[in-house]
Amino acid sequence: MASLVIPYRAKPHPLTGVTSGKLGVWLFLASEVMLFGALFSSYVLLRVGSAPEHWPTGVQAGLSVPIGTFNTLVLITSSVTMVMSWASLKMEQFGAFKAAARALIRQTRNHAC
Amino acid sequence: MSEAHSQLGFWRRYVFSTDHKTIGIQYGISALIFLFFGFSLMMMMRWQLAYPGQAIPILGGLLPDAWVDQGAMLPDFYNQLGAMHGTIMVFMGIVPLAVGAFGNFVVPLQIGAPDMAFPRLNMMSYQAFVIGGLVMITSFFLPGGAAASGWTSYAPLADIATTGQTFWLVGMIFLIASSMLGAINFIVTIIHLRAEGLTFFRLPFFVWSQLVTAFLLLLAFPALNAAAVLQLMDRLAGTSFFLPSGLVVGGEPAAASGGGSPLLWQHLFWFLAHPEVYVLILPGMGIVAEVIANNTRKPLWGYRTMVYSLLFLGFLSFGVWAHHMYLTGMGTTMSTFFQATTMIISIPSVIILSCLVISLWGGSIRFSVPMLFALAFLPMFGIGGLTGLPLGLAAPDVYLHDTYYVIGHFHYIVAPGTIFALFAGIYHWFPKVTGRSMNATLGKIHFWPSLLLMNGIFMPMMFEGMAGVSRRLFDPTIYAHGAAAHGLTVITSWSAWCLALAQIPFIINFFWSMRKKERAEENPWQATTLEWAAPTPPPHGNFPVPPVVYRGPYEYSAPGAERDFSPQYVKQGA
Repeated sequence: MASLVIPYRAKPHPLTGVTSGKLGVWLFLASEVMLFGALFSSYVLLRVGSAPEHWPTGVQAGLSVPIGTFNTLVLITSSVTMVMSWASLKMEQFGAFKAAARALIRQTRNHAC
Repeated sequence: MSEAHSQLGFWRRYVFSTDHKTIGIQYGISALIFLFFGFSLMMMMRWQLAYPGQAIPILGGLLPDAWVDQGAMLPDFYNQLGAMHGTIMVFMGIVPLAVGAFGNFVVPLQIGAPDMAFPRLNMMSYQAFVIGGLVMITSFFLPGGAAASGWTSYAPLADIATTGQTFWLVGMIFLIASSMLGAINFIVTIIHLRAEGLTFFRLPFFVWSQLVTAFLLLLAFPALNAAAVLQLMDRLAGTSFFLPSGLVVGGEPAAASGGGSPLLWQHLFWFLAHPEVYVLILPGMGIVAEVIANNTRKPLWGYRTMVYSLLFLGFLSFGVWAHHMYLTGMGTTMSTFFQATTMIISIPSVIILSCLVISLWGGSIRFSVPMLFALAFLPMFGIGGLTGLPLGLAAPDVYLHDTYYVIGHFHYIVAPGTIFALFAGIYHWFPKVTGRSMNATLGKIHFWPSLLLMNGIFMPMMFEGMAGVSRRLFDPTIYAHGAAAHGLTVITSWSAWCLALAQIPFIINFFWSMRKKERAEENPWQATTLEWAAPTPPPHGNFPVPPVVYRGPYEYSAPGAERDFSPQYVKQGA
């Protein structure tokens, strides 16, 4: 099975200028846009359709500013470490990549907890 | 390449295969089993409709007491059968057969590719489909049974239904994951892996139809994914996305905070389910186009027009969903908009159908079995399409909505329409898959009764609907207008049971042809497209030498050519 060579795995296709994997991920993202589009439009519809006094906001809805801030911080730093690990891979600095990837995994784990 | 493949063990070769042809066959067999299962559910429903309250013959005594009372069907079970018949036929029968099986097997061959772009993703897509299917089927054995809120699962009814609905939603999420993986794979394969010289306008129409279908699956299904997650939250986490305020269930106020919108579910559902209708029909049109070009021995009339119509159809199918919702009180402005788009979308469908009909003109037609099914597809799809126009206009829809007329209309499109196209595809590509031809006499014995009985099922439904009989009724005879139309119901039911018998020649033909010794020729239909350039059955990797394409897909009876067909992969005018 390893002998079966599927073209455009590693080198970009002349028509699209990207590899098959990259095109696949872009298509996946298009699908995700529709998924979140549906979720966001549901939110808009429900919120617009409800009386303002019935829509819980802030603390009333069980939201906490410190936890929200912390969450945002973790999210942002995880994308920073993601970019850093990708950049060091691109520059073939594997030591830096490992450090950044480790940080990324830690962030992800923190976020999941 | 083929040696490397033959060294693989049984499991890697037949069960966890990454070969697009094996996966296509897996999809095909599973989908045929699901189709038969979904058909059986409907045959039980037809008994209740034709002979309400009487014990079901043979099966009645075997079914558990939760489903039947002394052999006679219980209303809850009828609702489960109705919901699961729709779900199984659409999501586990026709789409996997049209896209999973034919798409997987034929598309890489027709574009001259060694395999799909992501073979392992392809395998996962099939596995997700099987898991989704098993979840759906097992839900019958839950306390309270399978989902019973219709295949549309309208809220708030589905929100408060028994556990079967939860299984339906979970199964649906697996099926959606499966179709998303498949869609990504198809699009990348068709864009990246076309053989040298195979430009977009040299693609067979079937490949075009699969490309557009894949885009519909990719972009429409996420809406149902989101909706399914929200409904799961409603059912399990106590939210009320779809539960309105002041909901009363069985005389008691429902234990929900309210504020949700049942209409929201319908919008999200139909945003998927209308493009889904085109997912059901487009691959069928693609197969019919292949078969017609091949059997008329002339190029498709208006190939480019058909392709542009297809693209327009795919694009516009995202803008017609609310024509299923004229009676929900969403407002006349909305209705006006959606009836306009609905009338517009009928134009490309009519163009494609007209091109196919005109393609027959002046051809020297070979009435082979696939051609018979393809020819029957044309008027059947025509009836299905034209009867849709009164439903697409808001005013007549007020009367016809949710009657048997609707059932008759869309079944004309998917049953004698798509399913006939799929039969045409099975007869057409069977020699490619197995290296054996199917028997033509048995094929004709399969075709003629099927054509007659399909009309026997769905034509009376139209009249029943026009008489005002609502769909989903457990026993329409309790109403005077239902009792008056009961004769039509009996005709429908008997036609349905006879249709099951009419499939016996097909089943015999299928297995018997597979085992017979005599091999079919390499290109038995004298076709021009690339799949016939590969050895039969195609080895792992398909083509010993990557094919090169020299001309368009349907160069039949080219002037000056020696034979009446000039394959895409042969250099000279040959």
